[in-house]
Parts: sequence; structure tokens; C-alpha cells
Amino acid sequence: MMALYKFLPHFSFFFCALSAICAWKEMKKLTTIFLAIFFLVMLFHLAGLWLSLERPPMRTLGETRLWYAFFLPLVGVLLYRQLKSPWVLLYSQVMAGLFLLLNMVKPENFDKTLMPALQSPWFVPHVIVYMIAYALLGLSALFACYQLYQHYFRGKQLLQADLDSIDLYVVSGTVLLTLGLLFGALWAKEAWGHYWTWDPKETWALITWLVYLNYLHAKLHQINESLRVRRSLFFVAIGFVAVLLCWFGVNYMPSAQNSVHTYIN
Amino acid sequence: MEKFWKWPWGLAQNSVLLMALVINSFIIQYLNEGRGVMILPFPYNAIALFCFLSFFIILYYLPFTSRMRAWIVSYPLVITCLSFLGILSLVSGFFPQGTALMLPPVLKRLGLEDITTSFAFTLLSSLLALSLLYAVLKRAKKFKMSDLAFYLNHLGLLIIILAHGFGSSDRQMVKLDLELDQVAWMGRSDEAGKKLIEMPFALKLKKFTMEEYAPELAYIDGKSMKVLKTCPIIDRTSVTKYRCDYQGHQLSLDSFMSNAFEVGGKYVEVNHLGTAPVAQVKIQAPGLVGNYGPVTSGSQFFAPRFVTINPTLSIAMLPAKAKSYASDLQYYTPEGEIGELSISVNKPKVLKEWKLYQYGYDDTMGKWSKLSIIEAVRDPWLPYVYLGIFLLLLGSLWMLVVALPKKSKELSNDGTL
Repeated sequence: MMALYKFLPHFSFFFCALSAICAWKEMKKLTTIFLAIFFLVMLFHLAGLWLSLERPPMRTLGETRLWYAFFLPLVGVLLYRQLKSPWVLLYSQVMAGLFLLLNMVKPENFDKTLMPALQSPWFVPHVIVYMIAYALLGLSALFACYQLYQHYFRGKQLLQADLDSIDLYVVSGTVLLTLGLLFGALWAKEAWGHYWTWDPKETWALITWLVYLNYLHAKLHQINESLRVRRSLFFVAIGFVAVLLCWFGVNYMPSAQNSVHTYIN
Repeated sequence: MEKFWKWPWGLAQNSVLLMALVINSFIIQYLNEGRGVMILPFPYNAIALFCFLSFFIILYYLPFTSRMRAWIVSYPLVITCLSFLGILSLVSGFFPQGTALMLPPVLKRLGLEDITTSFAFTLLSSLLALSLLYAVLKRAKKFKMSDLAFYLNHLGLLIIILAHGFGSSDRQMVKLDLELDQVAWMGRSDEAGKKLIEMPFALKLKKFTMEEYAPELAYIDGKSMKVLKTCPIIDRTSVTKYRCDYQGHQLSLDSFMSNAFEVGGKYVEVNHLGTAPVAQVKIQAPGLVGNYGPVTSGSQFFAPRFVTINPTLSIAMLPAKAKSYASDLQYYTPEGEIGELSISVNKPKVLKEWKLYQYGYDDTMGKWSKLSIIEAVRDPWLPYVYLGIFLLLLGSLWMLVVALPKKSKELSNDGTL
């Protein structure tokens, strides 16, 4: 059975790549079929891992990457319904594929251990909410970069409609970030005695949140339309850099040596 | 210059203004020998909070403050303030806080080792709190049900910032080292100076229990002791099926003992203090003969043991990881009350306004530890922080369940979706 789990990322990657190619070639039906198979394989993979490890598979960075690779195409489908552009599906699949590839190149030892502090009802909602938020914000950031590229290198005038198309996703992502932060605080109080300890991971989560709060306010600032849209798109793009630093980067910073989140290494 | 400061202020003007305030705050901190903002304990902090709120609320309703009101709630100020707070938080995101090991004296004197109590951080947090307060007051003039998420989110965050900030001086975190069958009533404070604090109760450790996961074997570099590959944990029911491969080497098990003691170079299974797990391993590889033997992580009574394959490759056992640990306690109060408590990680208990947490144990003894470290936390402002968290949670959920789907529907009616 474990051998099957070992190759499930390969299967998922295969169908992920197929649906990406079909999305690129605008073959709608095939894209849908391959995407459906991809989701089924991923679901099977995650459920199997959960059962075999006897704990939620959300402890290590590799495990969180799997959830991200699951949620990203899901958000991609939602965004595709809105933008009607196949590139959304393509990019979400390519990004998901990249994360699956990382897990294939650097396979982790899945072990059953779960440190006592992580054995909490807050564990699953905390991680899931963050992963959905990261998926929403990741695709929005990609779209924001695309719009900014169009503006600076193709001379496209940025309009309110360009922001509106992703606004719902950025706001949803920010709301989920808020929930993740609050779940984490409530959990920390039960596990470590204080709801906020300025742990490096917490600090980076706060910085990320502040950037997206800036987006929420920048988009309402009544100034020249192009400037407002440009500024807001910048916050969406920078916000995801903060997300990545918070998710992966913080483990490589000197401050991480004192982090209570080091179990994810 | 006059043209630059022309009203209304945008991002540039607010950035210059806040930058000047932040620089001045750091100068004050430097002149203050690096000491940050001191919040006095109750009742002074409650009085200070009352003064802060009443002063600014009264100011809000005075006719000549219209420009100040408009500035405090303006988007450019909010954006600048959030950005500056983010930049200051970056300091603690990069450097370990409170350790004072890495930073040169000049930076220490500027307060960078404890950025959250610095003058600059306090000033910006206060400005943000003020902005939240005025934003709520402004919107409250014309209450609209559609603004519900706005009220919940802004009020929630305001309460969290104020209760966390003003209440910080009343928060106490102390550790009690409990030896088996000994009574303790003095706690070590976490604050500088590590002063001892007399608790309003005494605790006696009746029993410390710890469950460990089965240990993991690992391929290690015998010279650098670096782990090259971690093998799965040893499941007692499937010892004979255990396999772990690394670069052509196949590791299997002959036998496994969870609690073993070294007697005359041999290991015997016994349930006693100071035992450790021992695995009899076998390594097979092309051209390799007779690589087998016992591997153990060792205990305080006997040394770890490896099986060496070659000078740079050995098999070691990693120390077992804790699955759960708990303390059975007896408590005594000055009123003569005696009772029992059981505390484990993630399951704290409350005793006389103090919340008791299972913090640690004697690492060198592991599951045989006769010491349990209990952390006692008292935070009288916690209900207010929780109120803020609850409001913010409610606001976020409202947005997610009501406001955002409504917006999505509107967009689809416009034909955008």
C-alpha cells in the first residue's frame, strides 16, 4: 500500500500536466475530464495518507504542499469561471504541478509522529484555512503580476475592471488569513499559554496580513483610477512574496532557531 | 514646501510624517538607554486606557478637530501606518528577539532586540488604534446593517490591540519545577531577573506519565553525525517486515526491545528506570559481509550504540519522540482546600485565576522523568482580548458567508461571472 502512496504524486502530476496541456490547447472537455481524475487521485492520496499515518497529513512542509496542490486547481476552476481565460487553468495546473514535482524530487519520510502540542482540534482548521487562503492569494498574485506587466511593458491602461476581476478572491483570501491567524491564536493559548508570542512564524503571518489589509484600504482610496488599481495590484503581488516567506522562507532565517513552528522542517 | 504639505495629505506626506515620528521615537529610545515603553500594572493601566479613550472620544466630537478626524481615518494614513508597522515587525521577523546575542550594542540601544515594546512600535500601534476608534465612531453616525462586518472587524481589532497593549503589564507567566512527591509554591518568572513569585496555591506532583512513539532508525554520517536518511518508526507488530533502504544498503530487523538495559555488554528487556529501546539490525549490501548488531539511542545509564557500515555510514537510533505527557497533581490553597488536577499538553486547567499548563520535564530522563515543569499563566485582560477575537471572527465569518457571496451574485448579475 505504501508503494502506491509513493507513486500517487506521480499519478497526480501526470493528470495535472495533461489537464494543463488541454487547457492550453483549449480542449474544454478533456481538460474537465483530466481535472476530475486529478482531483480524485489527490483526494485518494490525501485520505490514504491521513488513514495510514493515523494523523492529519499537515505537519511537514511537503504535506502542506500537497494540500496546496489540491486547492490551487480548485481555485483555478473558480477563477476560470469568472475570467473565462484558459490561462488561469493553465497557470493553476502548472503551479500545482510544480509543487507536486517538489514532493517527487524530494520525497519525505511520512512518519506517524505528531508532537503533543499539535494534537489539538485547532490543527486541521488552522492549516486548511491557511492553505485555501494561500491558493486564492497565489493565483490572484499571478494575475496581478500579469496585469502589471501589461501596464508597464505593453502600455495597457489599468482600469477598475482589472481589479474587480480578482478582488473577490483577494478579499476571500484575506478573510481566510484572518481566520487562520485567529484560530492559531486561540490554539496557542491552549497549547503554549499565550495567544501571541511573536514567534517568527506568527510575525511573518502578521506581516502578510498587514500587506493584505493595505490592499483592502488601497482599493477604496478615491484617487486617479489607474494609480489606485496599480497600487492595489502591487499590494496583491507583494502580499504573495510575504506569504512565501511566511510559509517557507522563515525556516531559513536566523530568527527561526527559536520558533515553535520548527516541527515543519 | 508649502505646496507639498497642501491638504489633503497623500501617501507621500504621511510617509514623511510617520518616518519623522519613527526616527524621533528611536532617538528617544537611544537617549533612554534602550529602555522601551513601560506599561504600569493595574489600576494605572486601566486609568491610562480610560484617559486615552475618553480624551480622544471627546476630541472627536469637538468642532475644531474636523481636519484631524479626517486625517486619522484617511486611507493614506492607514496604508502608511500599516506599512510602517509591517516594516518594524520585519525586524523581529529576521532577528531573534530578546536574546541579545546577535545585535551590536548600538542596535540594542535602539531597542531592536525587543521591537514590540519600543517607542516607535507603541506609537504606531496607538495611531492604528486611534484610527480604528475614529473609523468606528465615524461610521456609527449612520448605522447601516450592510456595514455589520465593518463594525465587527474594526471594533474587534481595536479591542484586541488595546487589551493586549494596556494589559501586558498584568500578564504573569511563571514556571514551577515540581519534583515527585514534593510540594512547591514558588514560581520562576519569565521576565528579566527571573525573580521568584509566591503562588496563591501549592502543588505536589503525584505522578508524571509519558508515552513515547516507537523510535526511528537512521542512516547517519559517522564522522559529522549528520542524519542522511531517517527510517520509519519501528512498529512492534511488524518487526520482521521492517525495511529501510539507502544507496544500495538494505536495513532489516532481527528483534526489537522497547525497554532494555545493558548488562555486561548484552541487552535484556526489563521495565525499569533508565531503560532504552534496542533494535538488533542487519544490513545487507552487495559486497558487504556480517554487518549486524544492536543499535540503541542509549539512556542516562548506558551509551548510545551504532552499527558502522563504513567510516562515513552508520546506523543509529534517534531519540524517541514524545507522544503525550501528563502530570497528576495535588493542590493546596491557603483556605485549606485540597484537590486533584490532571494536566497535559493542550489540556490546561484553571486554579485560582491561574491557568496551569504542562510545560516540560527532565529531558535527560525522558519517560522516567521525576520532574514536571508546570507553567502558570495569569492574564486578567484575556476576556477582553477574547471578546475582540470573537468580534473579528464573527466579522470574518459574516464576510465569508453573507457579504462575499452577495457580492459574487451581484457580479454575476452584471454578467462578469
